[in-house]
Amino acid sequence: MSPSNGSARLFYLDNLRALAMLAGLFFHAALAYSPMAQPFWPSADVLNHPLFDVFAWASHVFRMPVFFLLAGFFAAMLLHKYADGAFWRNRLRRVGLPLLLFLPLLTLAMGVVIQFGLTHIQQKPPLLAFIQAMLNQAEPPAMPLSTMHLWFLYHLLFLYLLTWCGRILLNRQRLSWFTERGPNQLVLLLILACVPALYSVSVPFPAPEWIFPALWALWFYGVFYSLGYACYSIPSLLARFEPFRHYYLLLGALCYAVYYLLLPPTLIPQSQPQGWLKLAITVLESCSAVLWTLCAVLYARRRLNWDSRALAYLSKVSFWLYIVHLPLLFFVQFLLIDLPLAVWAKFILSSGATLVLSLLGFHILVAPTRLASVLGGNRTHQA
Amino acid sequence: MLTALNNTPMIKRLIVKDWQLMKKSLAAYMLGGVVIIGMMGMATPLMFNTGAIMMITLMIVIGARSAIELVVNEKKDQTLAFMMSLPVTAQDYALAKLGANLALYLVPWLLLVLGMLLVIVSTPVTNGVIPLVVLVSVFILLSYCCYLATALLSYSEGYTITVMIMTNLLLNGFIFWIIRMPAVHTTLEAPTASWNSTTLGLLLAGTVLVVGVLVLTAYLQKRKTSFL
Repeated sequence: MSPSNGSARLFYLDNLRALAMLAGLFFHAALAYSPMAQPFWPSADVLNHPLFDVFAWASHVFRMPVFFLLAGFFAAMLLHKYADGAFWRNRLRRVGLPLLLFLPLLTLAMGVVIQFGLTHIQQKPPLLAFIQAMLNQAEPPAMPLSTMHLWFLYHLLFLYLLTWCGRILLNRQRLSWFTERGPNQLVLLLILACVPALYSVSVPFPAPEWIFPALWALWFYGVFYSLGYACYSIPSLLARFEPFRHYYLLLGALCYAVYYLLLPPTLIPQSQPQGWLKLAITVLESCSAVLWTLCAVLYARRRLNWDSRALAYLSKVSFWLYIVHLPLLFFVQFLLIDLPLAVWAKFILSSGATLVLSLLGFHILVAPTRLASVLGGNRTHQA
Repeated sequence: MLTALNNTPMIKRLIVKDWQLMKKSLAAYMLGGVVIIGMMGMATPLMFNTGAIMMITLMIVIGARSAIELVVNEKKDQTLAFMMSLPVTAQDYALAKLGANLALYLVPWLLLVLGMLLVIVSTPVTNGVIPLVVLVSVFILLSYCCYLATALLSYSEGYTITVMIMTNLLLNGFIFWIIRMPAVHTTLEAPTASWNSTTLGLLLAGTVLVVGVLVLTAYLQKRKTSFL
């Protein structure tokens, strides 16, 4: 877990990452059948159910924060092992190169899939109908540049840059300030730190997909990235939260329940909450995000710290799955939209088919090529 | 200057020394750059304009600090006297200074300009402002080259600051001048960047002047036979 406690392999971090990736696939699949996401999700189905909203937004509040926490942890570990130059070479190869390589390909793929949807779907989702109306104009507006779901890699590069700045500008001894705080005091500080960033954007917090660094995202995810960094740098930090994990889980659930009830029925800009209501929702969102992110790591540390072949495999393919799943998912959901199937069947079919297609893609396109060394997870991290 | 390349390891060391000295400042500039690009990326008129002003200020501060810290202060702090005791010639030293300063300025300058352009093309800010942004950035680079040349050739704080003040005053004049040009003014709100003969001519002139100032500085440095 730390620079000082030997060479125990951290299986739970691999396993957690693999499960978080799987949750990401289900989250994106669920949005098609979520009543709240109907206006803005490209593959929104005419059939929907509120339970998809409950699941989707619950996973949304802590899934990406978990990824950033893990990224911060591994960044600290790499910087502990290597010099700055080697760190940057490693990160540019594992994060920068995939971003550079796959962003243009995904942009093309997404264009093709959207075109397929526009041509073949009878009951068009509102966003597709809007895109069609835009394209039918005499002079269709250019599509805005986007990092799509690769925004995670893009913002991660900025966080690495800020880590480099922080290591030069900040005194390392300031980390000791953290060690002097009690765990609940730290949790409160983390929640308060998230509130301004989340207050500045819509609820639930959006994906910062534009092709420039979103300050709110750097701030919000930076909090979790820093927590991950601190977890590696301060050996005892994570263990100190351990006794409170059940309370965090319950409190997080309570906050999420109230947060969910306060969310508007549909997530269009006109229905966004304002003033005190927005502040209340944001505080509850921050509470859920911090408490559940901590819980995910704490429970994984206790329950997932073992060498599972299935999870090891999932961990190996998770980067590839992350990159390709969205256009594949849209394609499958476009195929299903007009079919007379139950909403749950559509959800299971679309998630399952996307998973199978992604795994096939991994074994055909990645495993036999040099891409495997860039995208294939290696279970080498030791503390 | 070519003879100076014979002492490449020493020149590299001098450049690394300057890099180490400026590392903290560079980290602060990078931090500022990310925040400013993020502000501009919010794409509201207030944030974009505030960000643009802060970006220009940052570019000027980076140049001014590196020229003063790495060149002028070396003489003031008696570091130059220490350098004279090292196995380096005046040409080695001059080349190292030119290389270090250019690298330390050009890297953040390029990143900031590219970041700013990325913000413009990806937000509702009209792409018509691109020529203006590029020309102002090149003018700031030219200003930097001018006061770096002054610092390198004179090691004088007074002369360097005088050139800094003059170029900064000229920057305001330059912005007003090009904004009033019909070739620039009429295309500012165009959806695409309009590079016409006027803007391309200005860009070419700016680039030639930047290269000219640097080549002239290197030539004059080569003629120097002593450090002082």
